[in-house]
Amino acid sequence: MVFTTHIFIFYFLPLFLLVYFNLPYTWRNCWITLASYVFYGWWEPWFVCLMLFTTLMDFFWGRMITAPRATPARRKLALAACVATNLSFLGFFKYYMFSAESLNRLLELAGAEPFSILKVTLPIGISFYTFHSLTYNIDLYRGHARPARSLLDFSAFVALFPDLVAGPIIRYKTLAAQLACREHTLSRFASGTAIFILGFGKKILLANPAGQVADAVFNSAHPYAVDAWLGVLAYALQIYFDFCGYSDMAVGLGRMLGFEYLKNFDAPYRSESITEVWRRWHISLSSVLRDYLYYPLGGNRLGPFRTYVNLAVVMLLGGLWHGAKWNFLAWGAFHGLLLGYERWRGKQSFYGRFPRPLRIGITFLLMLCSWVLFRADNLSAAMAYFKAMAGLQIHAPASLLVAAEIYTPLNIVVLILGAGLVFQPIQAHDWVVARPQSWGRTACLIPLFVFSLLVMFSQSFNPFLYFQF
Amino acid sequence: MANPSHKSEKALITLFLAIICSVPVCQTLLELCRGERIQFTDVFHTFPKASELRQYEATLKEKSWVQQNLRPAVQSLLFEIARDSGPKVVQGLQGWLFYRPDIRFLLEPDRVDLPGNEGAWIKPSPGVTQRESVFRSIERVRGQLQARGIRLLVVPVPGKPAVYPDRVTRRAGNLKGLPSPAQNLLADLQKAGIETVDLFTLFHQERQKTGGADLYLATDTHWTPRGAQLAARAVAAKVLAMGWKPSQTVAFESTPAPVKRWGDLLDMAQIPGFRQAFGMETVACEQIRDPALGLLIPAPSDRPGTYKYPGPAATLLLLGDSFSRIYQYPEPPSLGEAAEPSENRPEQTKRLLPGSAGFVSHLAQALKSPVDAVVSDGGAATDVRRKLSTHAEILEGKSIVIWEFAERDIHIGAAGWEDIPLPAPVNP
Repeated sequence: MVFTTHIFIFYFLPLFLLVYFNLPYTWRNCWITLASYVFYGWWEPWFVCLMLFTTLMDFFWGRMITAPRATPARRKLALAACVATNLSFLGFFKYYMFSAESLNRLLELAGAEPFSILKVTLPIGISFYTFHSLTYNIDLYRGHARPARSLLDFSAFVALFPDLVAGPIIRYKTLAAQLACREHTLSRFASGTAIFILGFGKKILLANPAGQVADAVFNSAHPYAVDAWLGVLAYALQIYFDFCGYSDMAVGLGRMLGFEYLKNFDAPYRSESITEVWRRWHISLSSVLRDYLYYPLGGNRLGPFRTYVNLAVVMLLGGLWHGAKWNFLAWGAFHGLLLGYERWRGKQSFYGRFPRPLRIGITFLLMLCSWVLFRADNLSAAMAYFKAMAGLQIHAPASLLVAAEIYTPLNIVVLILGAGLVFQPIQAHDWVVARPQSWGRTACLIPLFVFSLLVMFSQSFNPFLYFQF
Repeated sequence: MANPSHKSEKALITLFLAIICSVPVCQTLLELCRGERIQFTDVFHTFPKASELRQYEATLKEKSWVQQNLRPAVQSLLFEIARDSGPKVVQGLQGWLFYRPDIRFLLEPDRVDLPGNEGAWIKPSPGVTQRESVFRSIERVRGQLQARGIRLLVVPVPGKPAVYPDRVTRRAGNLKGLPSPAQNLLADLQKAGIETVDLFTLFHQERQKTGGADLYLATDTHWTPRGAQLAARAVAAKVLAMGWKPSQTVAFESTPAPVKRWGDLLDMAQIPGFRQAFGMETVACEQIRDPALGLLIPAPSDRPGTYKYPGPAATLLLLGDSFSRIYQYPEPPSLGEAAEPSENRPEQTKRLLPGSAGFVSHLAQALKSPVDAVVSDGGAATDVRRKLSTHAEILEGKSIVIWEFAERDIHIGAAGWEDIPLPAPVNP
C-alpha cells in the first residue's frame, strides 16, 4: 500500500487508528503487526510469507546469540549464520538476476552459449526490513541491545508499517524501549499529524509534478542542453521531495502511534561538501553503513590508505544497496571518490575556500551529476545524458518538442517553489518538533492537507522512487 | 485555563481525523441510501491476489463520490490557474492540442522490447527493439495473407506533431514537418519487399507547398477530411501501381456535408470547461454515396466497425483504426453534430458526423471500387486482426489488404502487436 493513495488515507489509516486507540495497551503491538502485514501484503500477498519467515529466523538467531550459556564461539557462529542467511535472501531476490545477466554477457563476449535465467520478483522493501533484522542481531552480538521481549515485539519492529518499505532504517535499540512502553500524548499525535501532512504535501504537490518533468526529459532520446539541465534539476527535486516526503510521513505516522523516529533528512542540498551531504541525506542509511560496515572494516583507524579503501567499499556497497544495476555502482563510486578526496584534504572540498553560496552551488552541481548516474536507465544512457548536458549531443529536430511538455506554467511554478524550499534552512521536522503547536500552524496545515488531497484526486502519476530499493 | 497550544493541537487532530474519516463514512451512507452494496466491504470477498487487490483499489477510488465530484473541479481549477491540461493532452500554439503519446513517440528512442511475462525462465536473446518487433509482426501477417494469395499494403499514419511541429512549440516554429521513426520502419518494410505508402513525405510536401494546410484538426488527434482524402488518393495510386484492377467500377457521387465537432482531445483532458475554452471545429466534409446503396456505412445489425459491401465487388479490404473511422462510421453523439441530417435512419443520423466521408469512402471513390473494412479505434495493431480472425470470410475474393495504423502504435512493441493466427483458407 502507498501512503498517498485513496485506500490508505481514507480506509486503512482511519480504521487502523480507530482500532489501535480502542485496544488495551497490551494488544496494540499485535494490532500493529497484523495491520502491517496487511499493508505489506497489499502489493503481493506472498511477500508476507517471506517476511514472516525471515522474522522467525532472525528472532531465532537472536535467541541463539543471547542464550545464557552460549559460548563466544557459538554466539559468533549464530551471528555469522544470521548474516549469511539474511544476505543470501537479499542477494537472491535483489542481485541474482543482475549477476546472472552480467555473467551471460561475459559468456556471450567469450563466444559461449548463455544460460536461462530464473525470473525473480523483487519483494518491495526487502532491503529495508533485512537491514532492520540484521542490525538487531548485530546489536545483540555487540551487546548494544537487549533481546526482544517476545516474538510479537520483534515482529512489530520488523513489520512496523510506517517505515517498512522505504525507511527510515530504524535500529532495534532505538525502538526497543518504545515497543515495550510508549507514551501516547496529544502533543506527539499532533506533531505526528503535522509532519505527516507536510510529507504528504511534499510528495503530492512537489515530487509528482517534478517527476513528470524529469521523466519527460530522461525518456527523450536527444535532449537539448538546457532541457537536460532542467530534467536533472527536476529529478533532484523529485527524489528529494519523494523520499523526504515519504520519510516525513513515516516519522509522522510513527509519532501518531507513540514512536519517536529520528529525522532522515536535514536540508541536504544546503550542504557545502559531499562529506556534509552524507551527514544530511538519508541519515539513517549513512549511519547504518558507518556503524555496521565502515567501522568494522577499520574506519579511519588503519591509516590513510585503508581509510580511502574503506570509504570506497562503503560507497560502492551503498550504491549497490540501492539497486542491482551498473549505474548504481557508478553512482556509489562517484560519491566514494569525492568522499575519499575530501578526506584526503582533511574533510575539505576542493572548493572549500570559496564563498558559502558558491560552495553550496558546486556541491549541488556535483549532486546533479550523481543523480544522472542514479536516474538513467543504464550506464550508456547516463553517458549520453552527460553529453546532452554538455551540449555535445547530436540533436534530432523532434527534441524541440519536449519544450511543450516541460515548460508549462504549472511545472515552472513547481520547480521554482521546490528549488526555493530545498535551499531554505527550515526543515519540516524541526519546524514541527522544536516549536509548540500554534493556531497559525493549524491554519496552514489543514488547508495544505485539503489542497494536497484535492490534487491527489486528479493525479495519475504517483510513483514512490525508493520502493524499488 | 487550557494551554492554547493544546487547543490548537486538538483542533489539528480533530480536523485531520474528520477529513480522513468523512470520506469513507459519507461514501458508506451514500451507498446505504442508494440501496447499493457497500463498496469497501468487497475486500472481504476478494481473493488475496495482487491483481484482485489492485482491481479492488481502483474500483474503490473510481466509485468514490468525493473522487468523482472533486476531481473535475480540481482539474478545472488547475487549468484555470496554471493552464494544466492533464497527463494525456499537451497544449500547443494557436489553440492546437496534441496527444502526449504522439509527441512521446517522436521523442523517445526505439527501446529494446522487454521479455514477455510468460514462463519462469528467461532465455537471453539478442535484444529486439520495439520497431523490430513490429516489423516481425507485419512480416508474419504478410505471410498469413500470402498463403491466401492476398498482398499486403502497409500505411502508417503520421501523428499530428510529426506534421505540425510548428504548432506544438515556438521552438519548432520554422519546421513544417519532422522526420519520424516510423519512416525507418517503412524503409525496413520496403527492403523486405512489403508494399508501403509513405504519408510522411506526402504530408510534409503538402505543408511545404501550402504552408498552413489543414491536414489535421486543431483539437483532435485525427486528420481533417482533406488529410484523409489526400491519404486515400496516395493509397489508391499505390494500389493501382501494384497492378490491381477493379472487378467492377462504381461511379460514386460526392456532396458537401459540413459538420461541427468537438475534438477528441477535449474529452481526453477530462477537464470541465475545456470544451468551452477551445470550442467546436467546423469541418468541411465531402460525403461519398453509392448510386445504388447510398452511404457506405455498416447496417446497424453488422458487427461494430466492420463494413462489407454487398456481393463480391469489393476486392480490397482495409484494416484500420480511428483514422479510418472518423467521418465514416457512426460516432458517439456527444462528439458533435452534422449540419444537415443525412439519412433517413433517425437513430443512426445523429451519430453520423457526417458518415461515409472518411478515408474508406475516399479510397473507394479514388479507386472507383468499393472497399470492405474492419476498423477498431486504437486497435489497428492487434484488435482488427482479432476481429478478422473471427470473421475471416471477409477475406474471400480479396486481392489486397491495406493495413492502416497510427505511427504511435509502433511504440507498444511486441506486447501490443500480438501474433493472431488466421484460420486456414478454405480454397488456398
